[in-house]
Order: sequence, then C-alpha cells, then structure tokens
Amino acid sequence: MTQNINKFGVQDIWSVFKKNLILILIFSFFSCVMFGFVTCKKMINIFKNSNSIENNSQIYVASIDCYVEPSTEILSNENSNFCRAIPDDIIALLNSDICANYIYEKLLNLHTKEYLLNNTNIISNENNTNKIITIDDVKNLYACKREKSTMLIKLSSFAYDKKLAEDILNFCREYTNLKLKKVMKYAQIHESKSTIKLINTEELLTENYMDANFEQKNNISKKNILKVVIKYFMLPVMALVFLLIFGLCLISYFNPNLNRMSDFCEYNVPVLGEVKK
Amino acid sequence: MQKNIIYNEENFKYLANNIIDISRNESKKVFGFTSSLSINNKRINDLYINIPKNIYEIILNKGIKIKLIDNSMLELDNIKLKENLDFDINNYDLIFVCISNILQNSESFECAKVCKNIILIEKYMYSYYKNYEKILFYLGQFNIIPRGVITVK
Repeated sequence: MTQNINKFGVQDIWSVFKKNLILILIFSFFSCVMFGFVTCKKMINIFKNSNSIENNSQIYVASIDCYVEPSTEILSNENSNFCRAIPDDIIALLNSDICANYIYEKLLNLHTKEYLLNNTNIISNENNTNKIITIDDVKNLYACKREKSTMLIKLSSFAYDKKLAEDILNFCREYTNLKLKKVMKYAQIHESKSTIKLINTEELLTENYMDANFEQKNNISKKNILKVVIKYFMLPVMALVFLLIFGLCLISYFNPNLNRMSDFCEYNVPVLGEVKK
Repeated sequence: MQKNIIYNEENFKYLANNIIDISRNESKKVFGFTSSLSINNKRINDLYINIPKNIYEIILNKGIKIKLIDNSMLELDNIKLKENLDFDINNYDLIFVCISNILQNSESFECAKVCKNIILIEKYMYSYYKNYEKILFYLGQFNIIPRGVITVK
C-alpha cells in the first residue's frame, strides 16, 4: 500500500476532481449562496452609509488664506529659491501624520467619536461604534493648497456641522502657530479672516478646495465594495472549495484508486483489455 | 433514469479474442465475472452484466457455443449453479457466469469457487487498491485463478 501512496500524482488528483465534480459544484453553489448573503448584508451597510452622506448634500467649508512672508534676512540672501520652498514645507507639515494626529486628539477632547462620524464625510462600513478613525480619515477633513507660484496657502476644513468645521480649521491654525513657527524661523505667516460657507458636496470638486482628496474619498468607497466582495465572498468561497478538494485528495491519498492500466500490471494478473466509452 | 453507456465495440472484440485464446488451454471452460466494485453504486453496478453480455454476443456471432448465466442477483446458490454447470459443460464450448462482488456477498464467493476461472472487471477511479488486493488475496486462498482483468474507463 505504501508503494501505491508514493505513486499518487497529478492524474490521481484529476481523477478525484472528475469523480467528485457534482459534489464540488453543489458545495461551491451553497458556499456562494451563504457568503453571497453575508456580502449582501455588508454591502447594504455600505450603501446605507453612503446614502446618509448623499443625504447630507450640503457641507460647511471653513477656510482661511495664509500669506507666507519671508523674513528680510532670507530675502537679502542670494539663495532666493529657499524662501520659495517655504509654503511647500508648510503644506507638507500640515499634511503629515503628526499634524493629523494632533487634530484628531484635539477633536476627541471636544467631541465624541460618534459625533465626528455623523458630522464628517468619514465613511463607516461597520456600526459607528466599531469604526476606527484612521489618520487618513482625519486628513480628509481638511485640505491645504498653495496658490500657483505664489506664497499664498489656502487652508480649508469640511464638516456637516458649522462648529466642527470651525474647530478643525482652528486646530490646523493652532498646529501651524505652535509647531511651524518654531521650525520656520525665516518666515512670518499672515492670516486672513476665516470664512465659512455652506456649499453642495459636488461643489467641493469644482471649487478647487480639495480636488485630490475628495476624489480619493469616492474611490475609497468603490474600493470598499471591492474589498467587501473579495474579503467576504471570493476568498471564503475559494478557501472552502480548495479545502474540500484538498480533503478529497487526502482521502484518496490514504485510500487510493486504480486510475490507469499500469496500476493493474503490478499484480501478475494479465490485463485482458480496456473498455472505453 | 439510468443512462445507457455505449462502449467501443472494438474493445469487446479484442476482449472476446483474448478470452477465446485463454479458454483453448482450459479443460473446464467456465469463466466467472466478478469485481471489487461496490454493488451499491448505481453508476457502476451494470458493469457486472453489460460487459460479459457484450463479450458473449461477439463470441456467439463467431459461431462458438456459449452460454451466459446471470447470477449477479444470486438466483442460483452454489449447489444449483454447480448442477447447472455440470449439465451445460458438455453442451457448450464456453460458459460465462456473472457474479456480484465477492467481498460484499459470501454467497457470490461460493459461486466463484464453483467457476474456478475468474475474470475481474474493474473501473478506473472507482476501484480501490485496498479492495483489489483483498479480492486477489481471497481468490488465492482458495486456489481460484484470476485469469485476467478487464479495465473500464
């Protein structure tokens, strides 16, 4: 028998597959139905969430213009390219994880997580209580953009609640004042008066507030659907079917079949012939 | 409804010739057809009868006196079968006896003892090494000669 086990090969696996094709198909069908149901439930959750965002068709945008004025020391310096890079540095620092984390911690001191989820465009696939707000989610609550070839930076924050939009913007400014001023010794930041506007969410794309960020957010929701389909449907179905085939192969490995004419030749019984369909 | 499987006729002609060749050297020209396949499997239980029947028809067309006894349902016990064979052996050149799985039915094994010459019918994917080895062992224990094996694809 050990000799027979050693002979277990591709043809034997193929024979297992052929022999149990109906069982594999039925099993695959029921797995698809079962995990399809689970995926549908998850999808409904996502669509419910996206609908609640669509319902909030208007969003508050708090914005402020900051003018970065290089110090006279820098201006007198021959290397003027250095001061040109200052606004980019400020934007990079505002877009950093440290800044997002600072804003998130400050927001949590003032508001609850549920409040943040309900009043921002952070998409939650799960129940709001289970959702973890990531750094990327926080980064989508504000945007900073340099006006083309100028020293002007436009800082904006977005929320479905007026107060929250103002809070986010204030924390951005606070971070700029607290951290950046220490770093940027060579420039002064002049801020304009903050404005708050209620605009349609679609206008976010056209008004150049956060062209990159908001588009990315829409992609994330599409990605979420794909993720759910892969995570809750394709992977489990494939894993189960693979497990079934593996199990059947294992059974066949320990209790092998005679699958070819040469298998009969070992027993000193002549093969009189083979009958084919 | 069970689907009738159409087998290649040339294969049966080849098998018939081989069995005729074997029978030339035999004094007692009785061949029992059995298998290690389970008789409970509906997809394969017709092999016990269909394959000997097809070979029988081809040999019959060659003008050889042949008789087919279908004892797969065990209508005849070993004593009655022996009586029948003793009577028929002088009237026929060849006698085929269909016997069901001797591992699953002790009476079938008694019938196999009466036939002495056994031809095994085995199907790929359905015949297990374990059962095939067991059937050869049992046949060997009682000096029953397995004259050959017919494999079914």
